[in-house]
Amino acid sequence: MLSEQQLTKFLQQKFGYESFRPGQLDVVTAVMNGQNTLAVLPTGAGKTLLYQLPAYLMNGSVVIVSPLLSLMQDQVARLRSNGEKSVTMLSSLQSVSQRQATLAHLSQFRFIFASPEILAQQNVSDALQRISVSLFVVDEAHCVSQWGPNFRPHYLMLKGLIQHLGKPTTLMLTATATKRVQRDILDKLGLDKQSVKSAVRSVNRENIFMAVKKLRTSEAKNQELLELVTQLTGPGIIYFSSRKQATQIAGWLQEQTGLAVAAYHAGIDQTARYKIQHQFMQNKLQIICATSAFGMGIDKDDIRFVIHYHLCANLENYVQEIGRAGRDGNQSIAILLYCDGDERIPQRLNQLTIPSPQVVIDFVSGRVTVDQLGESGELLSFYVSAGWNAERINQSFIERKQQEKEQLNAMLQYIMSEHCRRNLVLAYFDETTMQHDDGCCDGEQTEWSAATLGLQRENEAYIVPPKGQFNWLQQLDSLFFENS
Amino acid sequence: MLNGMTGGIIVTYLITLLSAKQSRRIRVIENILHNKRTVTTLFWGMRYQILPWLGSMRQLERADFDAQLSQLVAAGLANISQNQVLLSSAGYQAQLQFWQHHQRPQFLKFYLLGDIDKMEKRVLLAGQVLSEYSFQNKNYAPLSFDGDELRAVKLWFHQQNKSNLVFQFKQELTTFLSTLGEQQANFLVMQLVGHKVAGWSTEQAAEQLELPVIDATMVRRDLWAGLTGFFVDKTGPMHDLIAPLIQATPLSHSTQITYELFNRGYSIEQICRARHLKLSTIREHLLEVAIFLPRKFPFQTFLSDPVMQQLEQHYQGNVDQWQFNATDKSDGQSFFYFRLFQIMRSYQEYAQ
Repeated sequence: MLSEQQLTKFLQQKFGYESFRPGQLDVVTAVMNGQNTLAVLPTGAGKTLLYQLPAYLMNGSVVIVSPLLSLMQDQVARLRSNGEKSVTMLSSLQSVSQRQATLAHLSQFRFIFASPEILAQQNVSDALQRISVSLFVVDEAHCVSQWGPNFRPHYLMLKGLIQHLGKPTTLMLTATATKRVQRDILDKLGLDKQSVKSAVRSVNRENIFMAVKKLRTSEAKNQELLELVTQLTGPGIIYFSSRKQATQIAGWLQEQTGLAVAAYHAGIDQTARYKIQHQFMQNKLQIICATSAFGMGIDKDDIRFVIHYHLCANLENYVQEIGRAGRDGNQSIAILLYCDGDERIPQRLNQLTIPSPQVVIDFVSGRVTVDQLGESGELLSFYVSAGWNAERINQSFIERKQQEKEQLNAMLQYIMSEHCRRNLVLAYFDETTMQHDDGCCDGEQTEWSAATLGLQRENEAYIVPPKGQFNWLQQLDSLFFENS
Repeated sequence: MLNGMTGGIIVTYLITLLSAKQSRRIRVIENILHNKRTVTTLFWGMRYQILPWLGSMRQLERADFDAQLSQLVAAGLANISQNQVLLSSAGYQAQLQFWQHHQRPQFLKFYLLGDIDKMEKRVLLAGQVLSEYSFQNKNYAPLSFDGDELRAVKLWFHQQNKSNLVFQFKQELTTFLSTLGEQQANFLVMQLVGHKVAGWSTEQAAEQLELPVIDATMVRRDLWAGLTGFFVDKTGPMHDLIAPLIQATPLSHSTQITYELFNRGYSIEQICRARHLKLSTIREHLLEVAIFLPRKFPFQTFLSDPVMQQLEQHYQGNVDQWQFNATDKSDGQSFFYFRLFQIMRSYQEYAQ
């Protein structure tokens, strides 16, 4: 077993970091000792290092289960940009022959990324069984615990897969999980609570000031947004719950401010996404207008503000999204813009995904088919194949609805509260509350401005380059360096 | 965005695929854009002279397509009857006007040289690889996540002579770009990605160059087709890069095989036996050949003099209006002759 000094030295050599961030060393050591570990670390705490570092010191491959293709792509891109070549992604983007070729040479890869749906395929789990899996990572592990309509049933099959692979060391990673969710994750993955190492750090990010602005109309909201981005120093992210609005507001803000703003969401083709992501990282873009599911993997330490144009469906998501600000530890801010009735958007989305009791009954009795129901059909057929009857399924949906309602209420309490918002969040995650001060949040009638927080825009960088200056010959010279 | 406004609606390139003289089947247009290649679609696509657009909008959603058409109808620019669309005289004017304000495709003749989207992706990736290579940087995230694409570019890179590859590639690009207008050359180069160069998205490039977004999408495809056409018969790194994606003919793979057997002197029946395919399928293959390669297709082999005389007697005037009437619908042979005759007449008509 390597000592702390040896691990630190390796960290410096391989990853170029001076020292471990709080919580990292603990987890790395546990994992290297073969101990199953649940790491609940806030966004920005350096979760990927927790499996990347052991990957180089253990024999065999690391399997990373990830819920989203875009998230996987971000991780793969990050590894590749660090010069790592032996990384693969089992995804729906692969053709049958590509998949077969990958599976045939699976042991060559140090990092294997896959979604739970793909891991449920027999040929995939068999191929994994044939190789040596040093570490089994469940990224965004809270997905295991979600249930009801938003739930991905294949997460429940990971338990069987872990057994099938001979119980490799399992590392569960998440940014936010209440105690109940933590228990549920271990339960669903079939891991013994007593023997699992649990590394939980506070969700609190002291360098992020938390504020809410309540507006009367959407025009007022847009106006407020415009003022905020004009005053605040960037770079920043604005989150939307609709792609269309993300795109529209991005165009409008750019027009109004002259700042370089772009939309970034799943509706934008992959090449354009790559470009926008890199423009943002190279500081050529000041603001990204993103949808919530997106931007999970944007690897940028100096994001100064995260503004939510729409509220999140729960505090878990909100805390995770604002956590993208201020990873460098410097002062940053999270602002939520709220109009009366905004909560109807998550409410409607929740309702849409829940089939009515009658549909469930019709499905179970075979009067309605999977194809007719789309996504919720797959979920229903999963429950049916697990032997659930209509009554039990409906009961679970009722409970789920209730839970979603409670989660949304907590989000609304955060918005409506006149007390310390940070303490409200800490209490929600069963954490110890703290003393409110002027740098904490806008609760307790705390006055704030961009200037008081030292976040006032000063430079005029990031503005859209003036038109008519681009010269393709010059650009070719910048692209292709010729040694002569 | 506003440049395409006519009578309060946004007119897109769809209007250029419609006619005021010829009623056009809506689904044929949609299928052409989508690359749904039935022989009926291809035949009518040829009649409408929109075959170059085959597969140009593979992601097209029916709802969007229908909405665009409905807008034209609502604005009085087109009429739809029996699933066919015809421009009104106002629509005809709008079409003329559209061309005054929007870019025309320049490289239509190269559109079917292969999947243009793939050409673009491959050249962008190769450009990135060479750019990073020229700065001796190995640690970067490639533009693509597609294993086949990465492998193809890697293979190409290894097979090239590295001593002056960067210079050559840049030189080749410069030669092609010099044949374009300034705006177009800028537009294409803005899309390139490389060392510390993130590149511009289509929308961003359009904005910078003050090109309407609907034009930008068309121009983007047009320019990549132009690049493909430019290098198709040259030698050098760029040709080597795109050559594996170039299709000698626009024929589907299966049709290609049938055509080769046919060229080797196999009869239709022999091809059926050799390929274990139905007679009707082989006939469809041959019709596809006739549609795409009319100049090479031996119409006389099938349409003997007596058959031809009979067809000439029955079918005259506007080819679009011909109604097939036959006594032996059972084995499909007379329909095959009928369609071939239509294709032949169309070809003669266009050749004039």
